[in-house]
Parts: sequence; C-alpha cells; structure tokens
Amino acid sequence: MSDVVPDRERFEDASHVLHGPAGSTAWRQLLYVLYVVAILTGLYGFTVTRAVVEVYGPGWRAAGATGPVAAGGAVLVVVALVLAHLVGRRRGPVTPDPAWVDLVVASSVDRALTLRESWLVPWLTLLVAGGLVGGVGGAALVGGGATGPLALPVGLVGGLLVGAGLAGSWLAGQVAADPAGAPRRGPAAVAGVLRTRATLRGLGVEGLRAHSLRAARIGGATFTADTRSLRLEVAAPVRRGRGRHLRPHGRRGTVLARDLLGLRRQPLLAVGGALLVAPGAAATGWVVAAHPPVAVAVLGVLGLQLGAGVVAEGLRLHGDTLGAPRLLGGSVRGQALAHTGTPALLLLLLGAPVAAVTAGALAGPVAAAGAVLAVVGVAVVVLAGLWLASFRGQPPMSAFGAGNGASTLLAWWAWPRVVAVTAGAVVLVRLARLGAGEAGPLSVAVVVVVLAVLVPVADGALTRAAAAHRG
Amino acid sequence: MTGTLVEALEAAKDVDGAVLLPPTSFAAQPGTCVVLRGPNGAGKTTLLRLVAGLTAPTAGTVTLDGVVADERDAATRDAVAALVGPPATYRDLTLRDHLTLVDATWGRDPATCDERVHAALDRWGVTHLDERFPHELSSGQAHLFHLSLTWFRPARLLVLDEPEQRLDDSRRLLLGRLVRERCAEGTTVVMACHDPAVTEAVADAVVDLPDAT
Repeated sequence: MSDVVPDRERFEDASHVLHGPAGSTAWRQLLYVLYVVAILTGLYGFTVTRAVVEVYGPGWRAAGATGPVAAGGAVLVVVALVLAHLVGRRRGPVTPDPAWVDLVVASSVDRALTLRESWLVPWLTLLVAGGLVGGVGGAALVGGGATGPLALPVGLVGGLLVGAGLAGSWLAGQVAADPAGAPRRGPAAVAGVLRTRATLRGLGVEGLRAHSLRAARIGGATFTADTRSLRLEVAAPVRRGRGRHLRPHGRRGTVLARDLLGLRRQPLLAVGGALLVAPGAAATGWVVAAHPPVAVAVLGVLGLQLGAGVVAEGLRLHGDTLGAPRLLGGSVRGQALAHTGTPALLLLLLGAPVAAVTAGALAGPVAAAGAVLAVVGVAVVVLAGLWLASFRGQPPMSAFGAGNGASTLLAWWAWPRVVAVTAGAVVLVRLARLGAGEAGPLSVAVVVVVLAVLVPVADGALTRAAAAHRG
Repeated sequence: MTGTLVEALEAAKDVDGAVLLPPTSFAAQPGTCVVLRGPNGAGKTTLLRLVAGLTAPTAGTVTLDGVVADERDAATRDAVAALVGPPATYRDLTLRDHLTLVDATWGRDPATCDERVHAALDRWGVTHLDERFPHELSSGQAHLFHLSLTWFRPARLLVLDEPEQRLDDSRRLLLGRLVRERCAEGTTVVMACHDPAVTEAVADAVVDLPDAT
C-alpha cells in the first residue's frame, strides 16, 4: 500500500527494475561529458578566446566597439531567455522516457521524486555550460590584458546565473503550456520555477507524455536529417487568423501571398525575422560607414541570414515536397522564385532602410546610399544561401554511419549557412572598401566572382533536388 | 479533357534483391478505371508509384500515352494527380486557402475562384471545415480533404492508393460515384482498393496482383 511503503523506496524499486542494480547511468554519463567539455574548454576555448582578445581587443577599443558589442551580448541573453521559454512550450526540459512517464510518473509516487533526475540533468548541463562560457570569457579578458582580475569572478557568476536563468525559463515554458495546470505568467511564473519541487509536482502526465514523445521525434528527425518533420515537431500549431483568406493573384503572386498570409498567422516569425534582420542591417551600415573589425561584418551577415531564414518557411516546404505527387501548377523554379519573395522583401524593406539610417548617422548621405547597395549585394548572397539550404537534398550515407557520422551530419546541417555567411561577409567588406575608395578593381572582381559562382550553384541545387528523388 | 493511356509492360521493381513488385502488365484506356487488387505486400502501391512516375521500374516499362512515366518530366506532372500517401500540406493554411492556392497556380480565372473552391469542398462534404487548419482534422476528415485536393487540380490521370480507407459507408458510395464521374469526363483512373463494393462500383477492369512475398 502506498501509505505503508515510503515513496523513495518505491521509486528506488522502480529504478532497480528498469535500470538494474547500478541504477540510472544518466548522471555518470552527464558528469563524464561535462568533465571532458570542461577540460577541452579550459585547454582550447580559453587559449583561443584569449588570443582573440589580444589580437582584436585593441582594435575594437579603438573603433569604439566595446560598448555596442556588450550591448549586443546583453540583447542576445534576453533573446535566448525568451527563446528558451518559447521552446519550453513545445519541448520542455523535463522529458523522461515515455515508458517512465506511463509506468512510474503516473503512479502515486511523489512526482518531484520521479521527475527529479529528468529536471536536474538539463538544469546542471545549462548551469555548467553557462559557467564555462562566462568563466572562460572572463579569464580570457583578464589573460588578454583587456580588463582587471575582477572580470573572472564576474564572468563566472554571470555565466552561472545566465545558465540557471535559461534552465528556469525553459521550465517555465513547459509549465505555461502544460494542459494540467492553470497557465502562470510574469512574476507568478518566475516564482513557480524557483520552487522547483512544487513545479515538478504540478506537471501533468498528459503534458509530460506529449513532451517526451516530441523529444524522441525531434531527436529522430535530427539524426535522420528529416528537416520537414523536425520543423513540424518544433513549431507550434497555427490557430489564429483563420478568418483571413488567401486570394488569387496569379501563379506566382498567390504563392507569395501564401507566404505573407502564413506570417500574418504566425506573427512571431515575422517579429523574430525583423529582430534578427534589424541589428544585422545596422551592423552592415556600420561596416559601410566606419569599417569596424571584420567580425562585425560576419555578425551582421549572420543576422541578415538568420532573419531571412526565419521567414522563408515557404521556400523550405517547397524543397521538402520536391518529388512528391504534384498539387500546384507552374514550374518548380517559378514557385521557388515566388517563395523567395518574402525573405527578399524583409531584407529590402527593413534591412536596407536600417542600414541606410545607421550609415547615414555615422558618415552622411553618401554612406547611406552605399549601405543600401551593400544590403542589396549581401541580400543576393543570403537568398542564394537560403536556396542552398532548402534544396540541399539528403545528406550522404556516411552521415548515418559510425565513426564520423555525427560530424558529417553536423557539417551537412551547417554548410549552407557557413557558405552564405562567409561569402556575404566577403562581399560586404569589399563593397564597403569600394565605397570608401580604399579598394580598386580587385574588390570589384571579388564581388563579381562570389555572386557569379554562388547564384548558379544555388540554382543548380534546385535543379539537382528536383531530379534527385526518383530512385 | 482526354484521359491518358496507361501501359505497364512487365514492369517490376526490386531494391537490393528484395522484390517489391514482380513483373506486371496491364493497360488502362482513357476514360476507364482500373482497380489493382492483391494481398498486403503484393506491390500495389509500388505499381501506383511507377504509374505516377514517382519511381522508376528496375525492369519493364510504364508509359503514359507512349511516353515513359517520369515525375521529373513536366508532361507527366501536368497529366497525373496522385494520392499515394498523404500529400504535404501547409500547416499555416486553412482548407479553403489550400484550394485557392491550387486553383491560382493552375492559372484558372481568379474571378470565379471562390465558387470552384466551394464546389470542391462541397463535393466531398467538407465545406463546414473550410476554415480549419489541416492539423485540426480527424483522420477521416483529413482523408476527405486530401481527396478534394487531388480531385481539384486538373489531371488526365488519377492515381489513388486505397482511397476508400478511413471513409464511412456513405462516403465510400460517394467515392464510387465521383470516380465514375471523372471517368465519364474522360479521365483515366488507376487505383488500389480492398473494398469489394467500391471495386464493383468503379472498376472497368481489375488487375489481381499475386503475393510478392
């Protein structure tokens, strides 16, 4: 009877049945991973970061970049906290195995006990990760001679706090979306997360099962490179704006209208895209006006790339459905061009004005005009990168094998963005130097060659993807 | 619109030695319905995928009007409307939005789009679901939606994989009637079916596939 046998004893019995006398190995595996990561971070992360501080630090200080970079870091932390909350609504941190949910969590044993390990593993992971990033960053600033020794404890404590904050925000998202409990917002949600035992007891079995199954499907989709399933699992179901109707505007116009309607029904995507494109464009304007370190150009193009990618759902779905029985009329290329309209509009209607205003404020109207041209040039690269990502097809078979499979898969996921960001940064820096009269025909040639190579490669990716599926 | 002449000649498919479809021949004349029957694993879906040009036979041929069926060929894509597994739908579009998109991309008159969309939903009895998103449908409703999408695009050949699945008795009768209507309009229909009543109602010819295992 449950009132005779203590909860802890029943919990340990269940753990013994499922895991054997050694119990769960999750902790030992986690601690080993953290141990290895801590050593590697200390050895390589600190060394590389300190070298970066030593090499680029003086230049950044001279260019007045310290303040904006610090502000950018603070904004990133806030964005990460918000994202963690949003992610938690779909896939929270507490995701024990489905069998554990059904057989143990669903029993009368204290839920704070049965869910403790599932919560502490992600919590500790984020805590240690935050501490490592903050500690290494602070130590690198001290070691690189950029600041006094106080930066080390500040960085360490700050990193730990950010890690704990991310874990808490993630859990708060899961709690907020749990069908068993009344949603809590604002201070009530924060207070709830601080009382973790009570919070864990408040999680319902239905929500836990849903999060657990979704976590398994997300993992499966990631490791099989099933991009469509992955997006469907991560994305929240759309329910708003059903009263707005798609109207016919011709073959391509209707496809573009579809994408815009999708954004109206998921305004978070539009806002997220804008929040990424705006700082990216501001950085672009800064590069054109004041020629800060190259890292600013890289970060600026990365912002433009990520922001445009957020609103390119139509393009990705087009890539997913190549080779499936056809429902839509028109050519494959025509539809791809129409789907490119949404990210292009975001880059040109938001990115170009922001870049122009930034450059104009820093260096006058000529720089503003140059910034608009720079955004157009980078936009071509960014859009080509979106085509590469959307139409990259399947990863090589070696990505699913032992040995180098994981690194191959990671490279397959990352290469379109790496190519686009690298090429975009090259184009941006060269255009900025041209605008300043600091470069000649070589820069023109570099920009032309990058665009002349990348655009046909992206178009070729579509052609190959459209023909590759027939086995 | 004239239907497509479908001819499969000793068409077979195997993957790494596993036989998915033994050599099979049949022909479907324009404006007729051919039903494929056979036990699970006989290769019905594989044969439908060959007919739709989604995959290539490892032996034999499948032609549409004398041309090899190949989904990469625009002529095949324009001719074939296939429901072989659930189609990819947009999670952010309602049912009526999907049909509007299909309608517009096939270049139909925008002025009369709403009437066609309404008629298409009404044909399958899902008009009342027009403002739902696909994830808000039951499995049966989703199947009716997929049928309405497949029916809505212009086609000279309909390829359907067990379209009677998840339909109640009245909807199976409706399916039989609508297949016959399409055939009367000239469309060729090739479909796999396990329901004897539906087969009886729609088939001009039946192809029995032996157990491939």
